[in-house]
Amino acid sequence: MNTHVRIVVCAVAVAFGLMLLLFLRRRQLRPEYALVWTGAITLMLLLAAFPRLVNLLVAITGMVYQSAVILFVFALCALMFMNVSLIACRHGRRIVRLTQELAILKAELESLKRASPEA
Amino acid sequence: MQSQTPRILAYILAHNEESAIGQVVQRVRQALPEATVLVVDDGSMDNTARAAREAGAQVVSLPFNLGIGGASQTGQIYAIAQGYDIAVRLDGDGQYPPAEIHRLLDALAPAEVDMVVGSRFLAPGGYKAPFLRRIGIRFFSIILSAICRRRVTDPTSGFIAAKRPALTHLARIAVFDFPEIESLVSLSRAGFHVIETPVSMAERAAGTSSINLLRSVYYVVKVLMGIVVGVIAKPCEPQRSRFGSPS
Repeated sequence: MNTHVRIVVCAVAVAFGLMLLLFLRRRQLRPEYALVWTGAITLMLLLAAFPRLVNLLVAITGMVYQSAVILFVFALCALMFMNVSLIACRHGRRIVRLTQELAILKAELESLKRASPEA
Repeated sequence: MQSQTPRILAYILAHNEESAIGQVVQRVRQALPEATVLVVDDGSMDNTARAAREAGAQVVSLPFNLGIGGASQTGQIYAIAQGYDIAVRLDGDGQYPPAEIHRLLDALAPAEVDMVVGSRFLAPGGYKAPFLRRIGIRFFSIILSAICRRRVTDPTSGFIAAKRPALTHLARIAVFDFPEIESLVSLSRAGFHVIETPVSMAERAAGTSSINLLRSVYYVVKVLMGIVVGVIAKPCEPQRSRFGSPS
């Protein structure tokens, strides 16, 4: 990994880190969901600071070609998107159930009000 | 069945059906005077809710459009919460004739039957769907018949009557856009006894269908995925809610 690439990776990691801090500060991102991003940023910084880790990774995984690295990055991204999809689905189910129960409670309340207008 | 005279809820799904809903409610009340009529107003932008109330129905208004599955499930949750023994689903466009509800209820009477689906294709000289839709229905009929191990002729019919255990199951499962086929798969996998009975079907009284050509393609893909999920999914977990608690 040459110096130019290391600087770019560091810059991207720092940019991600700043975005993460901003979202956390604005309470747009909950801490448990920030963990995966913190891990990704830490990994990027470690690889940029210690390029030998890349060589170790290559020795372990056998990924010598750029295409293999791209595949690895794609797999990581896919995992992160899967995580986001799971979260979105869980919240979607909860929102639908809340909406249904809210509508039914509202109908029950209106029915009670009609039955006893003075209440 | 919990009592001699079962409490029946007829729930009607409606989205922007202000011109048809009043007539549909009145026809349901005439056909089934012993039933409570509920209109699930699925986020309508017009006066569907008011028209339904004026026609004598109770109304649950969803604050935004949940789609057929979410709206239908609302009716089922309501039926469970209010202690109904049987719930019948109709659509606000007037396609499912209220006069045919008795056919569903008669077919639902045997103790072993959990749910009855009104089939447009079982009656002699029955409903003639447009060509493409007919192919789609036939395609899903073959798949569902294999999964359910019984003959399924009308997998997309939403004209159903169900007893409380089946309603409780349907209220738990997460089926949102197009619930009919996925619900049949889920009920079959859970061991419920679902049968079909012949019904006639009218043309829409007013309004437009929610399924156009583009949505038809989405429908086929989405429902196929739903069938796969229904076959491989684990039994659903109970909802921690007074509305969705098991019976």
